[in-house]
Amino acid sequence: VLIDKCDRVNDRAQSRDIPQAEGPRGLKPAALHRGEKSAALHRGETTHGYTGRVTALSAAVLLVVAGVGASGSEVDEFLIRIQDESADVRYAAWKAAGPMGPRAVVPLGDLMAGGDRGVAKAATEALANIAHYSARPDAPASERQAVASELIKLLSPDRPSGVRAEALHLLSCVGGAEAVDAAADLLTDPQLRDAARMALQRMPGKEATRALIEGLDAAATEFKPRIIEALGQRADAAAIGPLMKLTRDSDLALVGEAFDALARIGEPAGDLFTPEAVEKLSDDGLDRLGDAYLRYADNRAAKNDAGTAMGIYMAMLKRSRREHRRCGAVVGIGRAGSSSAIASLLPAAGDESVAVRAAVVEALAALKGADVDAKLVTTMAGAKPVEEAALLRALVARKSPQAMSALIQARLSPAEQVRRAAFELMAGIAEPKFEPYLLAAAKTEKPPVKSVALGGYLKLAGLRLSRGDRPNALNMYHQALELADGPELKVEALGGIGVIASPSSVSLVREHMTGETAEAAARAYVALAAGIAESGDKQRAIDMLSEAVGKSPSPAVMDVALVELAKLGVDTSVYARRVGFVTTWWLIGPFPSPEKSAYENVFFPEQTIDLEAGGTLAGKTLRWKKVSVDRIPTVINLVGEFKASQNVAAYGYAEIDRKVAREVKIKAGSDDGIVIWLNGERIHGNNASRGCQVDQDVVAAGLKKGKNTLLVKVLQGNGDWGFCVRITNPDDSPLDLSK
Amino acid sequence: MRRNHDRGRAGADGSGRLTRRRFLSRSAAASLGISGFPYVITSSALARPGRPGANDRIITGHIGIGGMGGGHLREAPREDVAAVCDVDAKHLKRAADHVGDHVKAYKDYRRVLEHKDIDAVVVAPPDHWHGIITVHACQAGKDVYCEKPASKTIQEGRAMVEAARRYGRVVQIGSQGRSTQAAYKAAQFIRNGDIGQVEKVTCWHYPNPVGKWKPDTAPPPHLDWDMWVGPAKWVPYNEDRCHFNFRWLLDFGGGQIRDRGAHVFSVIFFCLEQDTGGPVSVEATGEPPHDGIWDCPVEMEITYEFKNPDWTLVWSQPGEPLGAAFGAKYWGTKDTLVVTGGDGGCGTEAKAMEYRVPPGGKEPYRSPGHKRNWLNCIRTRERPIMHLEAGHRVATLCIIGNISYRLGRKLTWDPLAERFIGDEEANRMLGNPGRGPWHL
Repeated sequence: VLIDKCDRVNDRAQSRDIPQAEGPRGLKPAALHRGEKSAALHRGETTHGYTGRVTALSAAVLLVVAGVGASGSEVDEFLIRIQDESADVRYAAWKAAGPMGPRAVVPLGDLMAGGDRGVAKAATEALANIAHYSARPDAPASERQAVASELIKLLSPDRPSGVRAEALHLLSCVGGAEAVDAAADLLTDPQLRDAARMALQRMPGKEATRALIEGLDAAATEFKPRIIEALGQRADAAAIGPLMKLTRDSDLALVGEAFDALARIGEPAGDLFTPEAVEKLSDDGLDRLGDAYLRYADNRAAKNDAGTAMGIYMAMLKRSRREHRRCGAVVGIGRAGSSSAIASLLPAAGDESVAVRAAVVEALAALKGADVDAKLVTTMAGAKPVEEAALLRALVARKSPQAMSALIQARLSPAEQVRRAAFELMAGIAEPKFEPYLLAAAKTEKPPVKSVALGGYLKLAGLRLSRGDRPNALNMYHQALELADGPELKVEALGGIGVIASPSSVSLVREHMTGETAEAAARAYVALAAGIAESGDKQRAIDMLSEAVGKSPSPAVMDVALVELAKLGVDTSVYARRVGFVTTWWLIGPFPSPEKSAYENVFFPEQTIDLEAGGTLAGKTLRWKKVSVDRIPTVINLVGEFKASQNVAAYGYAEIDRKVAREVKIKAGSDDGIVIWLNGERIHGNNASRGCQVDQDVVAAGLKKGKNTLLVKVLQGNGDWGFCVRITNPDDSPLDLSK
Repeated sequence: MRRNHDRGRAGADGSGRLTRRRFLSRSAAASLGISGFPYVITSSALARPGRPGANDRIITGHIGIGGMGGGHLREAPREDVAAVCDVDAKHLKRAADHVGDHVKAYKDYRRVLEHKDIDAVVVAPPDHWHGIITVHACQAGKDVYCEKPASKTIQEGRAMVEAARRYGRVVQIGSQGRSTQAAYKAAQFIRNGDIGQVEKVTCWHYPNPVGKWKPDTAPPPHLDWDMWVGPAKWVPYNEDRCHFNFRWLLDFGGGQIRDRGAHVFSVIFFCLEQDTGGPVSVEATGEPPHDGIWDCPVEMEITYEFKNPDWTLVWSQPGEPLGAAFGAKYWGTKDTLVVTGGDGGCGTEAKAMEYRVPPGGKEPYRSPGHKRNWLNCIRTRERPIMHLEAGHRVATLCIIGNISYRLGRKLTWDPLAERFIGDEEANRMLGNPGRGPWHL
């Protein structure tokens, strides 16, 4: 039965004209599990596999294979299922493969190389499951070692490189000391050396480090950087010596890799990583090695060697031409330093780079020590304006009790930079005590300090609002709207006014419904109208909302206004129709569309449209349903209508009455593809995979006098599904469909 | 169409303050306007206020300009783009048609990073490139907008965080859901206790697709396949492994749990203020395609347990859909809240949309739009809304979920040390040595 089954699999591969991959030893896949193979496996023989170095440990492990995992007959049965014609049977087998254990490893490796991709996939998955199962936390070590030893056999040179690479990958997950030599032997194999390096990089233990170090000497020049990198990533101090040697190599690329690896290890390496070494570097050298020095300093700081770290940071801050490296130095000083570092950091507060200046504040804020706050305050006395501003910011960031008084004092500074920082920080703290200072500055200062102060004042208005003090908040917003010079602060004020929605704001808001404040004012206006409606003046609210729809440049605001109008009983569909959206549709579906086939396939709506009777699909009656949407944009959500969300299609049907014939543009958006018929004639098709946006497809067409029929077919792959159609004149102005 | 979820939603990005009562209080068709589709009507009003002047410009390079990257490039002011990069010459040609021939075009991202005139880069290649390119960009002194999910491994993510910190870079991860009005309102509602203590969050998402077998072939002449594979485990070219489809392979995209989980989890962490922590355990089960080239689980369930406070997060694929293709339901001691989507098309219930923070209440970080937030932060050097630590912590959920699935066992996680407890093999999977010269 077993042989028959295997032959069937083989015949199946042949009948599909799949190349018949020879087994690694010249056997056809189907023959791999016949008697002699199984018998050899059950004896734990190693004749068909890795024949390189066999260590005492791996030899010992081989002895336990026979005692781990499933029995030989169970493995045979399992292998039959892995090769079954049915993907479902194969899946059931691979899913449960874990306990099959080491005996199944080599046969699965054989099957991975076979010509049947379904079987190869099942074998690959099963092999992975066996490996992962063997390494589960409660498994005895011998089980993992036994599986690893069998995986080593798959590294044999007579196996396909894909199988060997997969075995190396699995050994990177579960391999231990027993796998090191086998992987190391492949470091000189041109095809597999990188996979071997990656496996060794992951394997724990000093053996793997040793193997990589030994491999370094023998490695081809172009491959040495990969091994160096692996040694760095392992961060094993045993590699320091060989890596230090490479820092003196004539190949600058190797030198850079070696420095980087040493920095990752983060342990002292002679006099390579010292402040003096940074000072001595040429500019080019600093460009090449600066990252390594910063990494090393970070590692030293993390290992509580602040002295070394600070020295390198300071030297880097002084020397580096690259602003991001100065950032690195400054950030490092902040993390490792104390109050004594303030003086070193402060000059960088005037750095040409905004990133460095920001990093200085962050660093000052991060300094450790009880005396830092006091020293920051005393340092202000002789500081330059840019430094004083940084000190202020640091005090606030540290939440220092001295910050408030420092800010109040700083508002009177003769230096604009300091005053600006003070007002910015006051705004950030949002402390009501600052309200008069900010208002006074908003009235007396010139831009940009004025804007900063007004921005802070607006934040305090927001604070009052959130605390329920609406009258005072409204007064502040009104004042700010009057004082503001630019649109951004006006928009902010209009936002607050809208939230409060007091009728007293109507005329003020209305004045701003033009230009750059139009959208924000329209939003506020809608909110005011909603409030007025709630207070009972329905007609005034309707007038205001209609005005907002007309004046708002924003569809989002229009939409909110429409919602409010609808609540007041207004037929809002007219607004969407006025800008040309087709708002009423009859929908039917879903129709099957595997691999987008509905784009071409014809279903009954393309032949007959009977809005009453619908039609039949595969014996099931589908009926048309009417949907009206009054939103702008008018998007018909087909997921909501039909639920089915993958590989389907639906039709939408609409009628458009015109008093006179005219040329138009029909503009459609769809998610995904769309086909359009006008008066029974197919005028457009786009088998797209896309999200729906308004006016994605544009088709010139002619509407006739009287009733025009519009039919769309909208395809769905997965995810969202819907469409929208609007009609414009040839010059793109909306065709008013409300008339 | 699924990729549309990742596109920016002009006009629905939370830039206004008064968007009122919508989701779930209206018909499903109406709600789609918020939860599923962009508002896009060409309008000068949708242009960005506060756009920098010529002396305040941020010059960008775009690395990976296919799917999402192509969208980012189209959004960018052409005059501010200095270089584009892609391993597919067709993408470069398309970019040249859009931005003009004056923009430098490269196949190797390192050439972009050498540009001294470039301030910031948009990193949007397939997932397995995110970590390395972001780290190298930070080392080159560039600020970064990196597509989600942030990283492919825990080691990558931590290296990204460290690089951004070390070099003082502003990095925004492209989980733009946080920048939507709906996420902001949901965060207000939840953080101020209106559903009580959150004990559980359940997510739903439709399944991964099931692929077939297409033959491996030589890569097309316009594609540098070796560079495309880059640091990942080598595989031969197959169109079902390449553009877009890489999402369905564990060694590359990692399935819906990463592609969309990075969106949904981002909003959850934002609402629950969990950006610097993580779960203490993860248990994943799932069923992969029984045949075909793809190997990500079609259906999947992952349970994460959190401590201090105690709550449970469940990712269910497909789970129970609640009015949208994907989303999350928050179960509090007093009430529940549904937040649909998680990308640019977030939606939430009317009770949250209409919510106002009580006096003295918690006010979440408010983003003026995801990309704009990033650009603003480049100027101010503040931390953006989806900063790298948050992006890394969100990606961590996706990564350890897939590790648990791959190993077929529940794992105990130490969110502080960012290591599994008592499982050496799982810990080896926290990093993937990069192929060839590609390393962090």
